[in-house]
Amino acid sequence: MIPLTIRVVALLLAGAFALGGTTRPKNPVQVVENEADRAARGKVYFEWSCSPCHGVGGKGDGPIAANLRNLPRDLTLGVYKNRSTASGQLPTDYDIYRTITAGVHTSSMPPFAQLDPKVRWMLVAYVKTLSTRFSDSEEYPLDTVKLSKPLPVTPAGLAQGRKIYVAMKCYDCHGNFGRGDGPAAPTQHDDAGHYVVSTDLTNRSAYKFASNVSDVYRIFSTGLNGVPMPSYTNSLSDDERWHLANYVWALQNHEQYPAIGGIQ
Amino acid sequence: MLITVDVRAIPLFARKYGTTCFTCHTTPPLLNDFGRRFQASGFQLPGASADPTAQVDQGPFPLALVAHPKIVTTSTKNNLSDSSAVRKTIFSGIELALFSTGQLGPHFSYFAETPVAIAGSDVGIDVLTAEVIWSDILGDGLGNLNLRFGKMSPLVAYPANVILSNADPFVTSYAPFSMVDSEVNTFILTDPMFGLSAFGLLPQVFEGLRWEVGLYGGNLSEIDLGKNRAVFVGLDQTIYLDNTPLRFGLSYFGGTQTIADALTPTVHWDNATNRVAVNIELTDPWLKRFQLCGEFVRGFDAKADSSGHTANSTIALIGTNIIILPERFYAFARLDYAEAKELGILNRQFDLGIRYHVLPNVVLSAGATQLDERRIGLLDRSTTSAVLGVLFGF
Repeated sequence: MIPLTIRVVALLLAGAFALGGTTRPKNPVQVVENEADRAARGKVYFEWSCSPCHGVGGKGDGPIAANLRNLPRDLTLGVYKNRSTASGQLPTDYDIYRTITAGVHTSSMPPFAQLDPKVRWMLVAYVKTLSTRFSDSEEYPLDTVKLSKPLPVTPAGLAQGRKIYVAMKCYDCHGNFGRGDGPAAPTQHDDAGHYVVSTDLTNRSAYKFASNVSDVYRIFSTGLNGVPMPSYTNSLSDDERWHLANYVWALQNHEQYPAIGGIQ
Repeated sequence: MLITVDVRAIPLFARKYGTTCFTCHTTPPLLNDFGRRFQASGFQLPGASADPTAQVDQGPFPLALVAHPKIVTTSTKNNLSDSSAVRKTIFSGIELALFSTGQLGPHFSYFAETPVAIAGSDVGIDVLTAEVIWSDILGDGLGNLNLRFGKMSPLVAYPANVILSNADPFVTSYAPFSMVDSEVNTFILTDPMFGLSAFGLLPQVFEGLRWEVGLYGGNLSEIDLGKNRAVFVGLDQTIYLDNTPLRFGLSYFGGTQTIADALTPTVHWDNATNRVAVNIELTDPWLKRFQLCGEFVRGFDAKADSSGHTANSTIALIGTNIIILPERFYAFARLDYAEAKELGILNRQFDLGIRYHVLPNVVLSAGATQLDERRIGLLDRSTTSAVLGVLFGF
């Protein structure tokens, strides 16, 4: 005899599966062509989905913010780390969309991929209204970093990447072996004076904005606005940035690449 | 075996969304503003579309495990006699809780919790919660209206352990104040019951009015709708004052309950119970790391015991959470009070403790409780207990 509890629960679950397969009500979010209308609709979703952390005014002072180790971004400053544009520039709309969609790994910002793409674009439109930088014509045009052809990972290339890592003094913050324990790591702060953790490059789950080596290359090209991580566009060639990106990405697999250890 | 899983925060969502517990919790399991919206969206991100193509990969088997082994030392003194205090120290056993949650299809998700208690050769398993949620019925992603059904707890302001303590708050007790000292007749409002409810969080009303109207019945794992049925109505308003949340609410729980005499189980009587509660939650506007929670309840039981005595009760809770290091170290204190003058009952309970996250999913827990229970002429007992444990979440 199956206990009544289990029978009822099974019945409820079966009913839910059956109902779950039916056509859902049509999402009433309409395509809004006008930017201002998109922003107005985005405000509703911002206050529902984003204000607990970023605050109603977007200053990063939401009710949750004080209880988080990684403080939410002050969106009124218009300073974004995760971009595809040159150092110091504003992000593209798609950069903001990508951050909303993918979230910020290791922080409390989850990936909002569950939101309807139209809603995410509404949020992009609204977020841009929070900073006057976006309406300043002097901020444009944006210089988008182009992704050059990746270089294959070779022992010689990794050795070259290692040399660049040392020459650029990446170890100051990220440490000799890339573990984020460099001598300057404890003193790194962002523009607002908050302590910034130097990423442990050997730990893939510690990367905030990179999910592949191309993302690492992009970050070397753009830098991270608002924190000490600079852009190397002017100091390293495309190939050198690829060698460095391949080396840094390979640090996660140091067992696989024993030759890439620290300074011997 | 009594199963008392004191963890209602689960690492499954943190894992699913690649984030930390503190995205949703002020101090686990107390929900912060984002967590409340997450809950009101059927355990999906607030604003989430029901479009299945846009869902986050929930993995092949969305299952999480929480274990909380602990050592408990207790000293109990009967003040009606001159006998000395009885002391004992026990290992609580390996208390596990399996959680599963995920999406069943567009608009439908589920949440299930199965605690497993292991103490020596004694193993207790229970389907504590199994609810199905039909979310975002209005299709606007704003959590206004949802339905849920299954075995679940009402959305009371302060569910058990919400202020971290291992002790149940008196305010959620539905005890008919039986004169017999027994757990049999103690009905905890936050113990999951079979029910059907409509709920949501209205973001159009300031920063969110949480509401629920539900029909509940049964007790613990028994389906016994004929013996216990009740209606629950809850409203809880959040207002931001300079981005600092202020919450206040009102709730009602009322119904009938068939009670069995603890000593003579063949003796039954029907009690009609009403509980009306108001609650408030304050956060300091400067650091936003100090919370003060309070709830005041007036209760009426038509037949609180087999003799047909009525009981008017006054029950209150005041508690505080202090976040010492964000996402790492927090402390709590709580005072509970319950009085039923007609029955000569006066209970008081004081709790304090700390939690320290050694790792995001490994938490050291320590706490102490002082419980004083008085029933004039029958009972005058003081119990002091201390708990030390480690909580693991996977």
